[in-house]
Amino acid sequence: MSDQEIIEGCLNGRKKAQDELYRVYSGRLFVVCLRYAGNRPDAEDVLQEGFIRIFKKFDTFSREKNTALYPWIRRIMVNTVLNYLRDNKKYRFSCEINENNDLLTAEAEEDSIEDLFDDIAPEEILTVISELPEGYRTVFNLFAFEEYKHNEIARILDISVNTSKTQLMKARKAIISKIKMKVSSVEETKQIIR
Amino acid sequence: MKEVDRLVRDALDNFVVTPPAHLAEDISKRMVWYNFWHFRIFGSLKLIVPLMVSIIVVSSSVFFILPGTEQKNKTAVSAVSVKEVVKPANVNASSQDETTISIKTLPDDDNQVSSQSPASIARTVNPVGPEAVNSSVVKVINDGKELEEFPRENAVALSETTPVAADQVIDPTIPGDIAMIQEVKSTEQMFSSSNKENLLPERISAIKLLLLPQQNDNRNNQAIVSCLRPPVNMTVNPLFGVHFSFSQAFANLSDGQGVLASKPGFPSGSLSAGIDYHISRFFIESGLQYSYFQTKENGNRLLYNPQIVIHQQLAGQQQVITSHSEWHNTYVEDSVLHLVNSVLVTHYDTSLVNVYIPVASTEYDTIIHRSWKSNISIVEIPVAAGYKYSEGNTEFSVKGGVLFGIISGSQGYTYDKISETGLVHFNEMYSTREIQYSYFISASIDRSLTEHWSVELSPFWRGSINGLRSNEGLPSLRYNAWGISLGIKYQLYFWSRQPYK
Repeated sequence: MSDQEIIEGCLNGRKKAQDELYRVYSGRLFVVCLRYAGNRPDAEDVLQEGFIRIFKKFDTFSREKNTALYPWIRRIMVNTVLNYLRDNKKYRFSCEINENNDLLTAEAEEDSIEDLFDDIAPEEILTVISELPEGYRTVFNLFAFEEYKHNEIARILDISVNTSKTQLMKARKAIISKIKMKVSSVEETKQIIR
Repeated sequence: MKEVDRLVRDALDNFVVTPPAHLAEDISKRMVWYNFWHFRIFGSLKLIVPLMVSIIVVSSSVFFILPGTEQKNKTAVSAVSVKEVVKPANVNASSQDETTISIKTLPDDDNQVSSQSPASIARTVNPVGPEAVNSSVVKVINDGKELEEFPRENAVALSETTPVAADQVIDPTIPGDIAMIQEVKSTEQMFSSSNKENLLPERISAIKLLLLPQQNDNRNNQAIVSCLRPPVNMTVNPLFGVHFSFSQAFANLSDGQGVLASKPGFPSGSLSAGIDYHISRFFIESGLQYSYFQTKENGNRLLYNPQIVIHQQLAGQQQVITSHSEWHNTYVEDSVLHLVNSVLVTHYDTSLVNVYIPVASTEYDTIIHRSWKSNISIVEIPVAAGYKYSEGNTEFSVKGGVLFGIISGSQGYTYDKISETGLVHFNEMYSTREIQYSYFISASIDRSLTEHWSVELSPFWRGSINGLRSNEGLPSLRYNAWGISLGIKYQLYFWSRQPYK
């Protein structure tokens, strides 16, 4: 079933089209939910709510000209997860970070970051993102994936621009730190095996 | 550092994690109802409402535009006084705006008159056209020869004297038509014994008497006589009724946790006012009705649910175990109260965890009273379609339809509890007010007592389409009922051409 057929079917409330939409996009959207929610139960709740909203609001999609299907449903899913986090008071813009792991200098990072990502699987990266504190995670997701600017993030999350910048910076450091630790543990495991 | 953003994005943008299978089912279940209401029902309503409006507008237009309808209205309002209005016309009037009434088969002698059937005589008078309404003078012409002329007000009355169209077949089995034929017979007598030119107005006047009620009028004839008369065979009847139901009501707990059985809810009943619209024996009906139902289940079976609560203070390595017993939400099945929620795990932050460990509940007989109650009031707009058949003063009908309404109700339980100060009565009721959609089918026997009053006996079944949700964790209640309603009904005849039979 093509996107156009899915769209027409969903606009007419056809279950088959809704099922197909879910089948095609639920996997990618579940990753979005996991990135923001940080744990699987919350991500499942948000995914369910998000799809219900998508199906209910599908008539608004037809009114938005020149919009591709996936970006539109992803936007709804992101809004759903943000509402969910807001309603459940999940925003915590903590300042602590494990300083013991924050050993990387900017210069060292630039040289090794790309290599680090070569050695780690996407699910490990997803786990790293999920393990970030809520504040780090939310700001990082909005900035890196949704490509919001700091002033927009500040407005969405009702925080200051500086807080957004700080959270992003710390999120990046934490990601690198955690990935480095994971890569190190993998290397150690490999050496032990040898 | 910005490179991190791109690397993470590249790694996860097209990464897929399959969600658990039950999610699709859950979404599907929720969307079934949403789709049903928003695309099917509301979609249909978008069609039905304009259709209904169109029917009403067209019917009204037909009523007011077709020949003579306005005059019929005026006459019908004071049907009994029509006889006084129509008088032999000897009024001089101007010749402008004249209207002609053609009498095509005026008999030439007494024998011909007597040999004609009453029905055919009635047909000899053509309906007065709309011009009769607007003109000041009406002329009566027989085979091109002018016989008489009337002032307009008499023409108004004349329009009412033509209950049959020129091409209409008179069915002598219909009570209303029989009445008409009887009156025509009396016209024959007058006509055959007199000079036709002089008595012609009286003759027409006599035909007019067809519309007057018979002395032994029953309800159907009354429908012809005293109501407004549309040009086609249909009736629109306002109904005002009071119905008392003896019903077996039951409710389903919609989340599958059990079925609440109950005794017949008494007293339960409904008040209704509505309007029905007949075409032949078929009718559609709508209005407003108020219904009240009550279900109640008493019992003295006590459910005691002891539980153990463990308070774990993780930081301080402190663990306190206390026993705890608690009543929980219950439902009634087979006269026994059953537990709905027995496990409650509450997390307070991450440092303190209260864990409720369920222990098997115990049931035993006790003097302590418990009861489950459900009081439900529903204000509804029924939209129904059905079929009626009359036999004398008795009418049989079947109908079915949907009910749109607001349901307000309370449900919960009362119980006595032994405390340190003795027996304490608790009353835990939860109220709600929500939109309720139902469907119903019913059959009824209606016996007319007078022209307007009748009694009705009607077995019925009604089912709730959406559930009555509860507050505070009580399961959703889906109210269904079946039973027999006994009602008394007052019926007006507002706009009727031919009674259904």
